[in-house]
Parts: sequence; structure tokens; C-alpha cells
Amino acid sequence: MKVPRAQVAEAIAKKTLTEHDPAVLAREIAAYLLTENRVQDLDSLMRDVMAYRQEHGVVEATVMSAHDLTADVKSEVAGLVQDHYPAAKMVIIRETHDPEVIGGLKVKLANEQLDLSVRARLDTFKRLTLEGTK
Amino acid sequence: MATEISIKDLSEDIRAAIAQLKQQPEIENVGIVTRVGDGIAWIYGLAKAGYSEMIDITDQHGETITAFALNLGQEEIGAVILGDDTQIKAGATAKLSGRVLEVPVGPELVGRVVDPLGRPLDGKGAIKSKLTSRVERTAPGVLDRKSVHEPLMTGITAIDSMVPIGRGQRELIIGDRQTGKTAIAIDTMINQHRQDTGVINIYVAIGQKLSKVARLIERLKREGVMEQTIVIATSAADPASLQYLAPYAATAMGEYFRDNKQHALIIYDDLTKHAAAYRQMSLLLRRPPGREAYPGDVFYLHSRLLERSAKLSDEKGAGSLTALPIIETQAGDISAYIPTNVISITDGQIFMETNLFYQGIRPAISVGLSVSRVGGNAQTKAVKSVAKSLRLDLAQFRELAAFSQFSTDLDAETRQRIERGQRLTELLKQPQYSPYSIWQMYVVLLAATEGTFDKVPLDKVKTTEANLLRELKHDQGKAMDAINTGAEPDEKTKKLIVDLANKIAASYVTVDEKSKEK
Repeated sequence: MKVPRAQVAEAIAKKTLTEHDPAVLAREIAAYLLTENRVQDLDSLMRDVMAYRQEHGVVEATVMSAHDLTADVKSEVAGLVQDHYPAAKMVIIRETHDPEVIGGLKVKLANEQLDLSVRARLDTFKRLTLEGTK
Repeated sequence: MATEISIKDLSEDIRAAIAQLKQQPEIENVGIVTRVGDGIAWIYGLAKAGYSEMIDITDQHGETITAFALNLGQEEIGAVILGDDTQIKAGATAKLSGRVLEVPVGPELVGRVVDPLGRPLDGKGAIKSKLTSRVERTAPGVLDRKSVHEPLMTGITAIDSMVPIGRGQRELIIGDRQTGKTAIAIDTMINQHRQDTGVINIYVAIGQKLSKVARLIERLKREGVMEQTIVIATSAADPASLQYLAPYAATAMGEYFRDNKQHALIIYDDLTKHAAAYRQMSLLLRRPPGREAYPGDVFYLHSRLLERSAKLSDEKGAGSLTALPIIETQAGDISAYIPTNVISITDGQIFMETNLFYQGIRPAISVGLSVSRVGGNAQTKAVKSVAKSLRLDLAQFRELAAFSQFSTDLDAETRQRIERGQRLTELLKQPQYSPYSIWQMYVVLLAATEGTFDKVPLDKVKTTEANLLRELKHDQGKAMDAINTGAEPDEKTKKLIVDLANKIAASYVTVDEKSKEK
């Protein structure tokens, strides 16, 4: 019988809180997904894992920006996330580059996103301008 | 203490690990197709193949064609191809899948027309079934069963009164071609809808003409029955392997309902063609031919199939799967190989007679040769109370009618028996697609056994019956609904029915009969 995704996610999330070697954990999960023929579930499964960890005080934020972040910006983002999740015991900041952001940054959480990019500002500006001309 | 594992990084690690694991060579059981033809592939090198195990054969275009192993030899195995055998060439690679054949099961199939592998044939898109079940499963054991005790009404008075069928029973419908075998099956399906029994119908067409199947589906749709029906269709043009699989796959679909506290009715139309498809496969697999060239296990072919129809015990949910297998005879010969086999497996048979059919007695059920071995316990009390002497009356009538052909001068008692018999025969005639409710059967049989129709001219019997039913439905709706629950009505209701029947019948009695009475 197929184990429900939420149950698998919970088991993985618990493991991530105790396991120290991500490579070992990754191999175990990969083997499970292959034998159970559930590779296609990987993305949704990982989102569930993030959500579970978030509920248990481990918040992971992916910061997307066009350029490298300075230490100040990183701690500012961590503070922002901490304000958003006062119960968070640990905030993990992960940095990725995306030239499409143009300037500023985007912060992605498990099921939320905070868009502070220049692109978003420009889009808002464009929308407001177009609405004004109608 | 939580570790600082990033889930995003972990996702990427998993993706890399999956790619790496996929690249690792697997030890596979691989064989080579040595010969292929007539839907059979002979494969060398698959020594570990299991009986009925699925084999993936790669065709000349790189596509996979499935086959299943049936002959397991030391040197090579014989596998039946479930697809186009012309695409497979000698030298093709064959891999053991480690699976046995499974089909989708579940409520998602209801209302659909599928092939024996559960693939849709009705153009309504994919079947989003969550569950699958093995095509070949063992039948429930003794302790998991309960004796048949609930009625499965066909709506055909002749059957429900004289050869009643119970839920979980296997009742064979046997007769020559064009004698109304499928018509009985269709009427039974329609009755499940009209009486709102909640029974799921499963119709399996084995090697039938597709025009016949299309006509049947059209009719079921028109009657609103398709909403509680699954049709598994194979045509005469389909490979023998698919025709062979059809009843097993359909039974797997029916078992879902049986095992989930529901009731299902399965109609195998027909098992003669199924046996012929299996004979073809067996001869091509070079199994030794036996009587009529059928292989030695042709009895087991049908016994293991029909044993899966059962009434489950209360502990197992009390669901049921009732089977109505159909067998076509040649010139009324029920002592041929396949008919005798299936007669001995089933719990009774409804024998259709060509002579009766052409005499206009439809349904053309032979009272003498038809029997239900377990259905008596499942008959509703109402119908049982009026059907006791029916079989005997009709049997005596048939004998006397034959005898009276040689004699002109008959005594009053004999003449009375013949007249009663003629009227009973007339009353048991029933047009297609018009199944009766319990109360209708009860009223007709009660009036007939009380002699109401004895003085009514033969050509007016059906009109009298129709008037009686109409008036009762109109004036005594509540009382009739009470009979429909199956309980035997009280004396007051009986008297009311008989009085009204006598009153209506009196208006049809001819002047001659009236003067005779005086």
C-alpha cells in the first residue's frame, strides 16, 4: 500500500533534525523514491518537509538575488524572517543567484514568498501606470 | 539538537543520488525470442520465469509489448502476447518484469467500457483508478463464505418464481444461438436499476460481434443502467489472449465490490467462446489436446473463475458477487464437453429452448430442464408463497398437452389442467426490457393459482393481467409497495387482490363461457 506523502514527509523531516550527513540521507531518500516509484513526488515531498520543519522551529529561507549578498544583508534577512516567525529556533539562509531579479532580493520560504526585488517594484509600477491610463 | 541541513540543498543531493542510482547496472533476467507467431512467443533464456508472470518484449521499433508466460519448459518458455505479434521479430529481447498481470479496480470503472487490461474503449478519457488487483486471484475459502440467502431478482417472473437466483450464486444461462440468453442477462441488469437494488452490473463480452456490444451499451444507456454498469469488451477480432483474460479481469473488478461490502452481478457472455480462445492458445502452445481438442485443464479454466463468485460471511463484510455465465449449445446438446463442465460447476441452470422461442413463448425457458440449487433459500416469501405448485402445474400441463394431441375426448379434470397450463404459459410470457417488480409477480401468480384466469379467453389473458396490475397500482399503491419489500401479505390483502382479479376477469369472460357456467 502506498504510504501517504504527508507521512513520508514527516519521517524525512524528523530525520533531517537528527541526521548530520546530508549525503547519507539523500542516498536513503533517493533509494526509497526509486523503489517506490515516487521520484515524481520529490518536489512536493520536499515542500512538505520544509513546512513540517517550519512548524517545528526550523525555518529555511532561500534568498534569490542578482549579486552576492553582503553579511549585513544576510543578517537583515535573518532578522526579517525571525520577525515573521517569532517561534523560530533556527533560521537557515540559503543564497542563490537569479539575474532576472535585476536588483533587490526575493525571499522564499516553504509556502510563502517575500518579493523585494526591483523587478517586482517595476511590475507594480507598470501595472499602476497601465491602470491609470485606462 | 537540530542540524543545519538545508532542504533545498538536500533536494539537489537527492536528485543527484537518483541519477547516480539509475545509472548503476541492474541484474536483469533477459531472454531472446526464438520464434513468434499466432500470438505466441517462444523465449529462450528466461529460466526464472514464473507461471503467468509478465514479460516485456522489445519490438523492432524499441516499444515494449507485454506477454505473459504460460508454458514453462527447461529450454524455453511459451508466452502469450498481449498486443500486436507482427511487431515482434525473432531475436527480440525479452525481460522478466517480476509482476503478474494486474488491472485497475474500483468505483472509477463504473459507467465505463474497458478492455481486459482496463484500458478505456469509450473515449471518455483515462480511468483514474487508485487501486489495482491481480487478474488471477484465489477464491474465498470456506470460512470466509456464507450460504446464499438474499434474492437477486431478475424481474422475469418465470425465473424468480421457478428458478430463483440468490446473491453470490452462479446460475448458468444455456441454450442455442438466438434463444434469448443475452436478453435475460440484460433484463436482469435493467431490473437492478429499476428496483434500485444498488447491485453493480459487470458485463463481459468475450469474442462478441462489436455491433452487438454497441447495441447493448446503447440500450443500457437508454435505460439508465450504464451508470451502475462496467462493460469489459473483447471482439472476435481481438487476440485469443485478450479473450482469455477478459472474464478473469472482469472478476477482479467485481471482487472489489464483493470485498467492500457491496453486491455485484457479473455476466460472462459467453464461456463457450472463452473455452475456444483458450483451446486456440493451448494448441498453439503445443499442449496435448484432449476431448474436442480442448486441453486437459479446461475444467479448471472455468471452475477457478466461477469459484470467485461468492457470498461473503458477515466478518468479511457480507458482500457478494453473483455470476450469470452464458453457454451456447449446438442443436440443444447440453451433453457436450463445455456445457456439462459448466453445468457441474454452477449452482443451477436456466435452459433456453429453441422450440419454445419460435412458438412465441418468450422468455423461452424450459421449466423441466432449468433448476436452481441454492436459490430457494433466497426467494422472497411473497413470491415463494404463490410459486410452490407452479413448476408442477406446468410440467403436468406439458405432459398432458402432448398426450391430448392424440385424443379428442378429454375428461373435465384433464381439460381444466390443460386450460390452466395454457394460461400460466401465457402469463409467464414477458416482453424484453420490462422486468416485473415483486408485487407484480405476486399478484399475477396469486390470481393464476386461484384460477382467476381460467375462464378468460387465451388472447385476453395478457390484457386482463395488465388491467389488474394497473388498477392495483392505482388504488392499492401502499399495499403493493408493502409486498415489494418481499414479505408475504396478510389474508385481507390477498382477498382484496383475488376479488379485484375475479371482477376484472369476469368482464373478459365470453358469452359461451358464461352460458356454460349457468
